[in-house]
Amino acid sequence: MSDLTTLRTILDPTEAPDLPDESFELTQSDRTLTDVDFKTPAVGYFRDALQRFSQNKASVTAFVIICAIVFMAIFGPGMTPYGFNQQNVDLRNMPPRIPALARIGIATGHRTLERRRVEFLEDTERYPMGSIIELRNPTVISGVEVVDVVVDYYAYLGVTGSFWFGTDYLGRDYWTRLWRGARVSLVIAFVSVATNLIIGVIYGAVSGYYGGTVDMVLMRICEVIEAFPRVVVVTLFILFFGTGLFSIIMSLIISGWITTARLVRAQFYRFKLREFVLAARTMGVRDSVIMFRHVFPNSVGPIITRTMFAVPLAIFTESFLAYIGLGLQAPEPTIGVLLSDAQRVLLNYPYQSLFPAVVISALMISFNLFANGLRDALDPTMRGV
Amino acid sequence: MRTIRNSAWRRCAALMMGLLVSGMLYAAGGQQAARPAATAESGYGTLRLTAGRPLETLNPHQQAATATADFLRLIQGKLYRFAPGPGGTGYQILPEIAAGEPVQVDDEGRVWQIQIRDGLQWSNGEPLTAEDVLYSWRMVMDPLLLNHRANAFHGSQVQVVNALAYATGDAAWDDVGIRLDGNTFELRLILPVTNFMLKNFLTGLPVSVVYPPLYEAGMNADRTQTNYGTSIDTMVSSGPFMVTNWIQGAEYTAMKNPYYLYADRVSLAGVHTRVISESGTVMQLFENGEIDFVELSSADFQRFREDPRVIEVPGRSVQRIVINLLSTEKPILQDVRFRQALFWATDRATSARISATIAANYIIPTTHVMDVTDGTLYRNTPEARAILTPNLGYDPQRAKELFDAAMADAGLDRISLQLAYHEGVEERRAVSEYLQEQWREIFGGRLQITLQAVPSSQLAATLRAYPNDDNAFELGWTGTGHNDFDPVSALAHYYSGTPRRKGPYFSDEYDELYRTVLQMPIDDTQGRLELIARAEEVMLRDASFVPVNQGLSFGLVSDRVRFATTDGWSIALGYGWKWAAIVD
Repeated sequence: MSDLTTLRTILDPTEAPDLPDESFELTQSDRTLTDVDFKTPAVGYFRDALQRFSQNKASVTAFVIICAIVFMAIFGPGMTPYGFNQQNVDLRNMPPRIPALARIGIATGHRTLERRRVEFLEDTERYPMGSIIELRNPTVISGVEVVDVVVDYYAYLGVTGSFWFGTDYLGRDYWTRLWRGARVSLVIAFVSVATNLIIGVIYGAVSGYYGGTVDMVLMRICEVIEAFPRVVVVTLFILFFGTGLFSIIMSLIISGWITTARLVRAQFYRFKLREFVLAARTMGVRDSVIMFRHVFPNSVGPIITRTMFAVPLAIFTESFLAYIGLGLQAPEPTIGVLLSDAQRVLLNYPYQSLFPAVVISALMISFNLFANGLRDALDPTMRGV
Repeated sequence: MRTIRNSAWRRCAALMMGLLVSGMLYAAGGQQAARPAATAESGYGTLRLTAGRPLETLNPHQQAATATADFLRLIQGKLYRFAPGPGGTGYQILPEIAAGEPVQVDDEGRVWQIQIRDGLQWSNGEPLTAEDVLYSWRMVMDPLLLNHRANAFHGSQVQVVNALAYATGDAAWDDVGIRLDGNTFELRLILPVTNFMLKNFLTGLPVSVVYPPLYEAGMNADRTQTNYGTSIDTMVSSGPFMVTNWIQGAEYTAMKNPYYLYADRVSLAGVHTRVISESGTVMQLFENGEIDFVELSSADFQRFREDPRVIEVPGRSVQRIVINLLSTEKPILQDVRFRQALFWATDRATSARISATIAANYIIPTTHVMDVTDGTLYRNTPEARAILTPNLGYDPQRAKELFDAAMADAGLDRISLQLAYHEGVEERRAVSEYLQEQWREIFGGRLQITLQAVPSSQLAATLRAYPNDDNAFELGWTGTGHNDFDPVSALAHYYSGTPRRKGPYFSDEYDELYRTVLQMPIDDTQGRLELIARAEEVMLRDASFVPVNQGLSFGLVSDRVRFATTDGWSIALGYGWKWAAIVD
């Protein structure tokens, strides 16, 4: 039987029209058909995501900013000769002075001394030669002539060096403390997020994979833990373990993993009945291998996105706790501790609020933009959502 | 025709306008003419203040916080009251509910008679009688009510016979050394006091008067609680002002009391206080002219240091670090050499500079008056000066030697101690951080201090917990206010028989000195001075406390306020707001 006849039989012999074999001609019978190798390298899931991410300018910029801040957090404190707790009480609350920027009127090291008595302006013991820059707002208070005196505060105190970001209430270099604080804040954020990730993935995987009663019990436990107010939890940790990194990180972990667990659970529900899982199970693969080798890789995209969103949240939470007095103990700085201290002297030394505020704002925005970019790259269906 | 009508209309309008302006001018003139009369009767101008904490109660038997006490001093009637001296200089003690000077009955000064004035009135117009005073005094130490100020008649040099026993339920009221015969009280005291000491005692809030009908009406069934002073409707004023408004946690107002005995001396129409805890907000309000007084933080003081309106006020307590010499976990704290090392390693001059305070290498503050007849301050006496350590008690070399010796005997290479400080008190934290670093440098890193911020109430409770817990704390900040006119009161806190002390201190020598000075003839000022100085020296030698600084605050007062005294602030009167005037 010819090939054509065989083909007809296979298709439907009863319905096949009665066509002579001569009407047909076999094509491509002169060569062997095979798959052709790709001329370009194969693009995998993550490479594809990377390509999409690199096209997102906002996210790339955010990533650069994050890298810059992380770089400064690591190397910034070492860029000055001062230690983060090196005190010089004669140079308290010095204004910022950056020689390169001073020429254009930024960070000049000038300060306005308010309501100074006019009678003392000629006293070079109080105002060394060349320290007075400008006199403003002359007025009379209770019969005494006073004036606002703009001074070069470094000349006023006889200081030759420069503090780029000024000094704090104990004369400690603010640049050093800021980057040291950023380092501690980032450590708190990364450690807590990483721990949350590990707990959340395992918990969510078990809950989602096994489902049923196990899922019901595990999820109810989540709800109970989630009901504890965070501030109460922090206070209790501080009460029992004292203030420090451990208490802060634990307070961020105690309920922080639940969101990750729910996300992973949902992903496992989505994938656990797919054919490849069924095939693995049929072949007798162990549950743990199915969970973490076959199902988990399909959840990596959302998990990475969620993790990137969690980092700024952890930084912000740490700052909030420090702001309400539940942060690290002095003299260790964090961005939150610096902000908490600075807001009390906001009207007198606004630069002390400005620098940590800029850094934390940059971190928050950058991590959010970065996470947005990752989400779009890893899961294009979510773009713009 | 139209022109004529318009012209008439204009004339009519001009006439109306003229009448209106005339009426307004007349009314304004009338008001100006009426103002002096209003000033005399109801006062003029409202003093606008702020308080960092809410008003807790209007019951003088229950008040604890400073802000509450400041307000109660405006509205509570007392037997005697501090007032500006003649010509606005110094002070005098005016008999208020008392008719005159207390009369000394015995030779030693333990029995006194005080006559109550006739014709006094509460702010509601009802008569204020000696029976009301008796009721108030009985209630403050009532054994069932357990008032916060129940120690009023046994907690100071003025100790009424059996007052403590009555307050604890161990004696009947009839056994208490307070008798009322007609309009005259007789007080029997355990310790001798002078005329001034007794009057000073009777200027206190705890012994001021409460309105009996409302105090009784507010009692619960078993008489363990009263709601007196929990609102403006459950109390009646008797002082220079009467409370007219109290919005819990927000504001409170007192207006001039027309029934007050010395109403003619009160110039203000009222005092309005807003509760604002944020110092930056208070500063903003002052700069906007919305309040008349602001207490400056050390940062604000740097800003306003040359402002002629700034008033400097010494604090009434010495801030010190208590060392837990009972600690079993850190037994080296029991070694006096180790404690003295901390004393000598403390750079008080720099600490004072950081916190804008007064460096203090002493326990009894500079505000204490040794001799009320000439106003001599204890700290200015040769005896008190003689016990002061040189260089404000700062000698790093000596500190290092003492530290090394103590550590060697204890077999320690390094030690870590925890220093608890008041949360939210920035100056305290700054000094703690400074000492942490300074001590680390002096002792070559062998002493590591960890800092712990603790709420004030919790810190006080921790320091008081040593009788039940040897390891309740290691190091902790404290400062205790005393009676400025009685230096002995500053010693009481360290006497081993004093209850609820903040931190342990035990010394037979000190206790003996304290008991002796209490029993000394009250007019032997020199003898008392020598014993007080000796007791302070013993206390400093034993170094169970490291004195660091004495508080110093700075006030900025609006130009519209005129103080009744030339100094603005004094030990006896404070700012004397009740006697101030407004000059708009």
